[in-house]
Amino acid sequence: MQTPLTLSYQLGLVGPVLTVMAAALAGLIADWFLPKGSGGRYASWLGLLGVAAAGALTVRQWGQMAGTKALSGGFGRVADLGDGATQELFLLQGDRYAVYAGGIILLSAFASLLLGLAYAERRSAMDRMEHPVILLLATAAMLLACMATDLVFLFLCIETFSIALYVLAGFRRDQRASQEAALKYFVLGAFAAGFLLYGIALVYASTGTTNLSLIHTVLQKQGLNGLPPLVSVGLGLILVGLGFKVALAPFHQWTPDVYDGAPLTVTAFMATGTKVAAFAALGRVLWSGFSLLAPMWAPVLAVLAVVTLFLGNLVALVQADMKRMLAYSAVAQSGYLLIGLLAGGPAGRGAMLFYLLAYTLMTLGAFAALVALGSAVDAPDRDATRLADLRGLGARSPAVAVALGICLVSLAGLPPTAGFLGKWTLFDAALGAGRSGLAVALILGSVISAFTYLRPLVLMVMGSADEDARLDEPSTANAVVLAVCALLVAGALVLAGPLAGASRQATMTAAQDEAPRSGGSGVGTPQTGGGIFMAAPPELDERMRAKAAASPTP
Amino acid sequence: MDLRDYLWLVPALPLAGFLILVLLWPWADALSRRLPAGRGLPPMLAGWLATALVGAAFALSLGLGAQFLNAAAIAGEDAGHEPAEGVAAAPEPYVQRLWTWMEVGRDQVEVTAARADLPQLEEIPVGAVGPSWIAVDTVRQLNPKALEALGPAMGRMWQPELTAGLRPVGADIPAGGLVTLDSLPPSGDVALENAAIAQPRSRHRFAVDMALQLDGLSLLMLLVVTGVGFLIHLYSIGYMGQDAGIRRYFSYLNLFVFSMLMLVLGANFLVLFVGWELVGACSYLLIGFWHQDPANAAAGRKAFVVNRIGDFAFIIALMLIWSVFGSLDFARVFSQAENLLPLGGALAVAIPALLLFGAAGKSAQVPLYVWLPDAMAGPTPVSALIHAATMVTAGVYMSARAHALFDRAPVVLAAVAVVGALTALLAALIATVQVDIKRVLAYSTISQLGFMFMGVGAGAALAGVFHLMTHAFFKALLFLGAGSLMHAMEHGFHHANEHPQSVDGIPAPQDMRRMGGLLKRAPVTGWTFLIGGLALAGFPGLAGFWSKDEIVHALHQRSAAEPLFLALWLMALLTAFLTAYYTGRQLCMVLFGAPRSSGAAEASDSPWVMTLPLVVLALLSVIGWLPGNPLAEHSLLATYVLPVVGGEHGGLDAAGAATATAIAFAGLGLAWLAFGPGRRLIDADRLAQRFAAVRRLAWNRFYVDEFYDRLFVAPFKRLADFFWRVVDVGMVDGLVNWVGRLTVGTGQLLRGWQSGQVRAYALSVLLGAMVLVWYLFQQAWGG
Repeated sequence: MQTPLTLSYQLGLVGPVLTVMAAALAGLIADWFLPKGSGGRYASWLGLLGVAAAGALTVRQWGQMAGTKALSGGFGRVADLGDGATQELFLLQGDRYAVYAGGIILLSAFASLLLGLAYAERRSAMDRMEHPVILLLATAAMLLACMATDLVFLFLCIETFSIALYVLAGFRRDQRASQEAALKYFVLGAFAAGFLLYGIALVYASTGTTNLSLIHTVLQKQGLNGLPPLVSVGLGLILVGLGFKVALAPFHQWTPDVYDGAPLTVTAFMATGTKVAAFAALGRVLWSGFSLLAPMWAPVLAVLAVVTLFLGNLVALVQADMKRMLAYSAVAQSGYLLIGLLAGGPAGRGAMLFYLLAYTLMTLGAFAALVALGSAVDAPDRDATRLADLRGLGARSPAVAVALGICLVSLAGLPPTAGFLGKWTLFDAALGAGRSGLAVALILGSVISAFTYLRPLVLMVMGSADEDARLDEPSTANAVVLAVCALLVAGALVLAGPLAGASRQATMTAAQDEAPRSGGSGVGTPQTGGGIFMAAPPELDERMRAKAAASPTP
Repeated sequence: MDLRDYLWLVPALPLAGFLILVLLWPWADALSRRLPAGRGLPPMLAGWLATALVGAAFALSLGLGAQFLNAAAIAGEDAGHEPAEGVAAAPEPYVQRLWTWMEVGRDQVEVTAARADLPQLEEIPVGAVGPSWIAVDTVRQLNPKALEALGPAMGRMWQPELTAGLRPVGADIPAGGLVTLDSLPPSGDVALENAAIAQPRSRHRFAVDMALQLDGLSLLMLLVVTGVGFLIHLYSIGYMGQDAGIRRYFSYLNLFVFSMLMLVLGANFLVLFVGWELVGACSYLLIGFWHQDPANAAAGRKAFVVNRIGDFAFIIALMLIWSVFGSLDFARVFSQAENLLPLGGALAVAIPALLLFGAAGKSAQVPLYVWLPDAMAGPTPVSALIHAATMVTAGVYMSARAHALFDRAPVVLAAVAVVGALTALLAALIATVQVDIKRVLAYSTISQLGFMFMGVGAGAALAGVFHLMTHAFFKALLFLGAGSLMHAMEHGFHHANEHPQSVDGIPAPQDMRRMGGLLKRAPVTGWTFLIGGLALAGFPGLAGFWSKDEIVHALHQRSAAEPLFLALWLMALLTAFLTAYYTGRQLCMVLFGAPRSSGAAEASDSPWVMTLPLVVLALLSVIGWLPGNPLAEHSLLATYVLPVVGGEHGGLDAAGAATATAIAFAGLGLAWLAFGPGRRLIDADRLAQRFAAVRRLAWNRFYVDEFYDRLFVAPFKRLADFFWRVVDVGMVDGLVNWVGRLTVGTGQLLRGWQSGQVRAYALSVLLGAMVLVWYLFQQAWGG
């Protein structure tokens, strides 16, 4: 595979990133020329413009990659492996996998900016130029994280958007909870970053590289006998660091506190954009760098997935605040997403990406509804996010209630919504990969979650309104996000084919599981399945398989 | 420019109207209020917008039709026909695939021999991602000849040296294993695909396209739906102009047109079914449009529930079709019907029988016709559009469309005819005694739908479709005319400052006993109503005459050999007589004689937006039969629709035409004598006394509603009560509550873990990391 390394090609690859960054800088510069106290409005509009342009570029990239892999490629050099063999080493790689994930991130950024505009009207602390600018910088780093094929570069991307998010989480300086959230997020984030960095160092120490495809080559060459155990320790630490970012139990505990404390629209962005970027990165690390070690990490992650989805759903049940409930729901969704990632192959990763899209839409919709709910009646300083605040919403504002209802139904995974389709594809992918245990866990988790999500619905419809005052009309920006998300979520059945089909085409260039399977696991769908049993050099394969057979996986 | 590329736009236009009215309207309204001196958008604008969009859809449909005829003419010349003959071949159906709607699962093919026994395949072609060679191999083993037919794509598969190599295929797939058939060569070779799909042992893929199909039949339906729909939209502007819910009304109406277009344009059963369900939903919404009156809401509910019963059968039919054919595409299902459905087999009977039941629900046939008379609770234009011209004919359309399936079970086809005949006769009998102007038309609609079913059942689907078209014209005209007359009566009563009470539950403005002489008071409406009535009665030369008698003729042709059809033919003749009679009765009671109330005496004609559609429809009721002219050898319908619906081109003979004329005149004459103005030669009351028993039965609609109530509704309510009190409250709730408490308890327990302390969180991360790393270390080193 020959990848063009021309400058124009490379610029095209990071075009969306540059556009978003340019919008951020434009916002910064524009602020100089604006009268003092003009707030974040102009920077937000510039940001919306930039994100929209980046979205257009992303769509174009998707089209350019149609049917050919030749356009995938990236920044880097060609390494000489000795014996005349060469290998391309990239810092980042553009492929449809990254483009799809990047598209979702841009969607999330766009919606969060719009919501931020609406939210700032009520919370003056948010009405600052820095808010959109930092959000855009985080977005750019997230886009890069989806493409990163080098561990160090990935670390940089993750840290960049994490630091941006620490700041954003503490943006409501008038609120103690917001400051607390920022500090907690920062301390724990730094702690987790340590794990990630140390893991990368150990991997480098044992393989001599931080490039994912080279790591794969090295692992392949060395085989299991020559494999330094430090690789697996390093991988374990990397998993801890990334698991923290995607909020896998038991590394999830920051999530509820931070999501709860952070400003509403920032939470919306964290819950969606960060999740997409971190999952995209996790998927790439595991499937393109460490796929040969799948028999090792897959059982671990399977356990984590099950624990995460049960824990998230169970604790979400007993929350009295929508924001906190959505935080636990975000934890639970990580469990679902991990199932898709574990299923692997184009089908499994496609299911993961599609569910990320569905999850992003319904979560953004839910947060847009929360923004529309306005301030609590008893405390104008507090957002009306408690379950009790939803009482009688059906009568107070039918439109908001319907839209929120659609998103909640979708989160519960009921047909005909996007959430249902997403879970269906995940389920299908898990079964196709012969991981029926995970598929069952997915269903059980959904059953538990149904109660969680339907409880607010009941309150909205049945609870009588505390006061018969109607809700204020949501601002246009808010209404647009709410309506678009609700419509897309509700109309998913009509658009199911294109979206799910696109996610299946979102191939990862350097994914190493495309090699032929040996043997079928279970029901025998060797084409997309094979589960965790990856093709590997025979000498590696034998011991791995024996071990994997010995240790039952859920 | 190929207009067909814009086929999707036809349903998209009304859908856009619906979305604009529902989503953007409130926003624009609020915006316009903010303008200086803004008073919000005028409600009438909603009506004009909706009408304009449907009109645009109609214009586009006309363009499509013109292009279709043009293409047909060219195709005919190419085929070597003499242009002078005017014979054109129907173009191939045009299918527009918008997107893959659903794609779930994978086709699985059983490997019939161990992989080692198969020829080793080193490489597979570019783009063939899956082991499609296995499908090919299966095909080869099942039918060696099929392989040769598969063409160049296959050649590449079987000659490795020709392939652009990608990767080797694993060599240990066990015999009897199932493999996926995920992908076929990129050539999109339809023959190969067909061969592979026709043969697999086990099928787990569910793939449906969002696709539209344009052929003679759907084009005809397209023109009827958008054309009549446009006229009725226009009419509604006048009729509903004063209603407070005008925006809601037009948004529903636009949604209905969209749904109906999806129904008739769908290229597979699922798209059709979605349209089918959506029109049902719109019907429900519009019947209960004035839901402030509980009776209207109840009528809507009844329509919905009765339709569900039919839809349920339809869904099962779809499942059976999918399990037999592995596809819901019309093209594939109908072309494979002969191969996969053995004549008279259980499935071959079950599928069309279930489809028939579904059609009976939507098209108000025995035994599911009871909802349609009640559906008149909706606004009159709705009755005209949905419950006369378009939606209720969906069953006929579907039966004609799926004739390939019906053809596999002659017994079901006969059942279609019997159902149609029973419905036609029963409804006509009921119609003879009704005095509500809309109810007469409602029962007449049921009766005429019965005629269409008779046509389809007699193997003359073309005649059924022809009658569908003409009926859409004159029945829409009659309903709109009735609406206009009611409008006129209301004005009359208003003018006379009277507020008469309802009698027998029939509001005064639509009570025919209070009408009379309206031909003079409201001339445009009156004359057009007269034309519509005569067309319905089968007055020679008008649209209804030709189409109805083509059906009767088809029945007659088969009656020579089959006694069943002799009976059906006689029933059809009797129904035709009754039709002429009750139509004549209605015309006499409404239009002629002296006014029987102040409302009729003071009535005046409606505004132009209402009368213009009447005039256009009256014109169509006179000349609308020309496209299907039974006398011509190559009428438009015979050329373009016949290839789609199959069966014979009936035609009409002199004897049949004479009989039909005689019957129509007999019925109209009897009505004139009994109800006409001036000296009555036949005393209607004595006539009623003589047939007192029949009359009472018919007046009470043969007690069918009461019968259903006793037999189904009441026991069902008791059963539901049992399930509620005993099963649900007693058993299910107990279990659910128990599980719920357990779950919530666990949640509470786990919640305690969340202490809010950063150091606790960090500890938890650390502990987790230690376990994780320890496990991986074990794996790598422990061995």
